[in-house]
Amino acid sequence: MSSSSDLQQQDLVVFEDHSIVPRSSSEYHYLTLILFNSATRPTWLVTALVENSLFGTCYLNKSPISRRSSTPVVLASLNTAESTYRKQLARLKGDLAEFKYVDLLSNYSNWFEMLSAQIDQLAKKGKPNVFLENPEFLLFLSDTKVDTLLLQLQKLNAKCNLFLISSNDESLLEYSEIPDDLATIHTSFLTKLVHRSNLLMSLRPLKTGRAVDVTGELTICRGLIDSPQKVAEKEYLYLVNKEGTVKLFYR
Amino acid sequence: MSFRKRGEIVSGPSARSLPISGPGIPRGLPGRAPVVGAGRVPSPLTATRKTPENPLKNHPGVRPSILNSQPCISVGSSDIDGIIGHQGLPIGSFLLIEETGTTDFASTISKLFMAQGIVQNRLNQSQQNTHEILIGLDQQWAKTLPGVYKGSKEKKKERVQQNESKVSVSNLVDQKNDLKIAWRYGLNQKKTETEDSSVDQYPNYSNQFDITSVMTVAPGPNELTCIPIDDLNRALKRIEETVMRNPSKVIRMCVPLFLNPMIYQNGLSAPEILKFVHGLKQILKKYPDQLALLMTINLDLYPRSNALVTYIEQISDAVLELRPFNPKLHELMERVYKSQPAKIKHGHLNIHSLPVLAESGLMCVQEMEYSFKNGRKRFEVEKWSIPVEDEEEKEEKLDF
Repeated sequence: MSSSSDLQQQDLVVFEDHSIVPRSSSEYHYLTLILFNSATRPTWLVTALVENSLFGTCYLNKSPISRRSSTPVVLASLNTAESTYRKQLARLKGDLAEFKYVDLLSNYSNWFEMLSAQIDQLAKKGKPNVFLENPEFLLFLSDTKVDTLLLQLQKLNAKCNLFLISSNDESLLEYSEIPDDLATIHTSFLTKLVHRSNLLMSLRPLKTGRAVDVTGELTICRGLIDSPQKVAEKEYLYLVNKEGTVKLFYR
Repeated sequence: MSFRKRGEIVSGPSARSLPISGPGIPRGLPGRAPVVGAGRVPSPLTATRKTPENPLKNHPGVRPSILNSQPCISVGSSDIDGIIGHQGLPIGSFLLIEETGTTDFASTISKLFMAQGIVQNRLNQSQQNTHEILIGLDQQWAKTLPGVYKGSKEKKKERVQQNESKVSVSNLVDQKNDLKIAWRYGLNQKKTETEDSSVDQYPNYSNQFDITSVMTVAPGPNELTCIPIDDLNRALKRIEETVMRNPSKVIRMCVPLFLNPMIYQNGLSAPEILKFVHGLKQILKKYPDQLALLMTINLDLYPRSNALVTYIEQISDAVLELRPFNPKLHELMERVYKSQPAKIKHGHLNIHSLPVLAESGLMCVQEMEYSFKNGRKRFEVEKWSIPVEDEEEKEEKLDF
């Protein structure tokens, strides 16, 4: 017997055709921006998107997905260790042969070359979906400027669907007159990215504070660049619990 | 149907993964042979890494997390261990302690963290099990680490033993009498096994310290390495070298008073600071079965609204904030708990993120829900409740 919370539970839908990740196409490559707050980290959402890319399924959804696809995935992070994602993905039933992790936490000096090589290698099997977590760290860890980084990301996006995972804490979103100010650089980077993206997914905690039955809000909205697949703009409430289950509810 | 205590180590071929519908909090740390958690999935990353000897094997200061069986070490206060959720700090984690105001409670926690490791290291003189790295401060600071707390009973026992060890006529006579009495009441019989079973499963996991005392033998260079921060890149190299020199030990790394101008050069730029913190995390994740890091920072110098602090918080795995009460609230508490001074707390303890849980996507922020008290023998953390003034007493005073 299903409980009332189960009845309210919703499936994750991102596009109007009920798909979650954008379809792979040789003509068009999507740029998705996943924004998160320090209190609401996006590991569960990234895992769901990676699963959907690899197997066409989604552990968040109850109803089976009609369109089964298999897109190779490259995941790179400057802040999360490989073991974290491996542990999350190991729970999904499936072969992870087409999943490649690029460890930028240990070595970020040749990040662009490393990612490009991995994309080129996987491109033989199909255009990969590339997830890059905390690309803004490169602005401070290396001497890369905002425009140079955006150009490099654009080059990567020309080869694949790119998912950029970046933080948007309040303290990071502030313009000042000091050009070297961290918040100013971060804001400038994010603003420019938003203007180039097709899809925005944002995770943030409840404005009213902590709740036992809701972890935060997930907002899906289209980016400033129009895309062939129409985005189904929605707001969900989500709950991540200690046992590892994630539930989505309509706002 | 049988139930198993959550803190117990689950091992053996029968251990199976828990049925979980989605990927959530990872259970168990791969690449760790003896302390194995339920549902552990071997990872190719760590499974291939071979260490000369597993530092966690039979370590008295390591116990499995009650949440995911990951090996944990005590921070130095059992209450903070409980707040973190795992009953300790998971090895491979980075704990950031922030503090507002002019107080320095965070340094007490740093000292407890370090003292815990030293005491555990000295349990077995023939085989050292822990090494410590102190960043930014010198041996002088290490000399102020607190000594183990001894209750009044233990102190009395110690005094009696000292007196008895002295050769005197009365002692010799007493010894004979003691033997007679002991024989009569069966006191010399060896303690039964039933008594042993009542002893805590991890007796040396979290020792209690007396912060008014000082460790009698200060930690030496074979136990503690002090790394100066005159050059941050060189400091990172030296940290890694120290870790490599101690392959079969648990390493507690501590960065007290981070960015305090008394210790750190004022000329450090934000990218330089971030590179250093990121470098610490790189080392931490390179040796995930061996290292744990505690860093303290003052929020009056670098407030949470500062982007630099936000980045440092993002890099760390757990963030706790100590926010001492304002003078008015402190006065109120003193007035209300006049007859019960033990109930007077020193401030709020706010949780901003917790290891493993926050990384999995759990929202762990809890502000103004806990209070702390820096006691002589314990760093206490309790649920916060607003003190209520007794109105009757007030009225009586007014009538008078």
